Amino acid sequence: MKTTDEVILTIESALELEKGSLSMDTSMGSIEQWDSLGHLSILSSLDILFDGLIAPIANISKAQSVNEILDILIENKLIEK
Amino acid sequence: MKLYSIISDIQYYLPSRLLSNEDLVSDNPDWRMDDIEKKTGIKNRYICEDNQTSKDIALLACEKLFKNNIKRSEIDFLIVVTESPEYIAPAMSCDLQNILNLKTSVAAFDINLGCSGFVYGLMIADSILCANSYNNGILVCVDTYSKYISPNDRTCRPLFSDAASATLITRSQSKSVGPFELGTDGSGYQDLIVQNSGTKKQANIERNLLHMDGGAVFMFTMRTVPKVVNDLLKKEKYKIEDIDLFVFHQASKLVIDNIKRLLKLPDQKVYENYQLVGNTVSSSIPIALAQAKDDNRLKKGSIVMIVGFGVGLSWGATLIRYI
Repeated sequence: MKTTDEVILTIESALELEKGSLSMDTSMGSIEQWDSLGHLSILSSLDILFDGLIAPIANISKAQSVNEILDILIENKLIEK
Repeated sequence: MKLYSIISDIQYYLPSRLLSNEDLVSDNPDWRMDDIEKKTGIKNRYICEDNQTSKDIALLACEKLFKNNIKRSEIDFLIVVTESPEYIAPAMSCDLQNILNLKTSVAAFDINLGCSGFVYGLMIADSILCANSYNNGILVCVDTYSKYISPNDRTCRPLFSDAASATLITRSQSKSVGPFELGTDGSGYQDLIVQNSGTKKQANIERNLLHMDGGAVFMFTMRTVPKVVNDLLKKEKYKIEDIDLFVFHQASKLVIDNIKRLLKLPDQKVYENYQLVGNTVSSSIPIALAQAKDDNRLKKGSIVMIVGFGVGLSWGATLIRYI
């Protein structure tokens, strides 16, 4: 099972941000890099991290913040609370 | 005798007006164009002139067919796939039948589909040719999404090109096309929609503009395309190695790269032309097939899988054997 830290690192990498740039409250649109295309990079990178288990989660594309992404991953038992 | 269909010719028309990444950033100085190009892979788009319509460019694509070995009098049916017709009524195919001087016994009708439309049109053309005494049909795919896109829309404007294609489909005694895998998930109809484009009017929306929920459409693609590819392979008892070339709807680099990743497809098995053509919606697959042939990626005996997916949400895939 992956950790919250691994997920956050993956999002930072997808957005080409320095490690530690994101907080739980960072949301789409709040930083320049997290635009509609950045959002697709996040989804793609998470799907790679979780080896194809992200694509079947229909509502993950609607997650608008780090917190919301983590909640959906917890809900789908991909990370621990 | 069992009858089949074959794609005899594909012609296409791209408008002469180019929209480069430099043009986009000139209109929108705050756009990070390097990042947009890196993710979409698209360097250029073809855009209709303001007074140029889908019918105008469809006509130009069709006329290219008649410069080759087919006569107008030999055409028995005309199918137009479009989501950007000049009018809701009548069907564009009726207007085109007249302008192209096709005989009045031609069966002509439109299909309202986007990026999956070529596959659907091909299936219908194949069914007509296999079941009737018809010999030749034209499948036109044409879209001018630029008419629906705001100049400031960072999600859609970097992606879409206007284009028309005309595919000549002919009756054959050898199986060349099929089987087909088609599907629909209308629960995502609002994820890619031209609002205020029909009878339902929303007062808070200024005009008929394209809206795309990029994340939702992307995830739909990731869920659907690998499955449809595997279902079609299974139907024919094929493996990925048996397919010479995969021609996917040319959505964007990010989409094609992820499809390749999920299906573990080597680069040389996947045709890509979005870089210089953009996402031409319904014409995306026929243009890619025509260019793949010009690039000598297709030869006698080649087996090609084509997969369209998008607005609807809708998808379709089939196999084409080059005989």
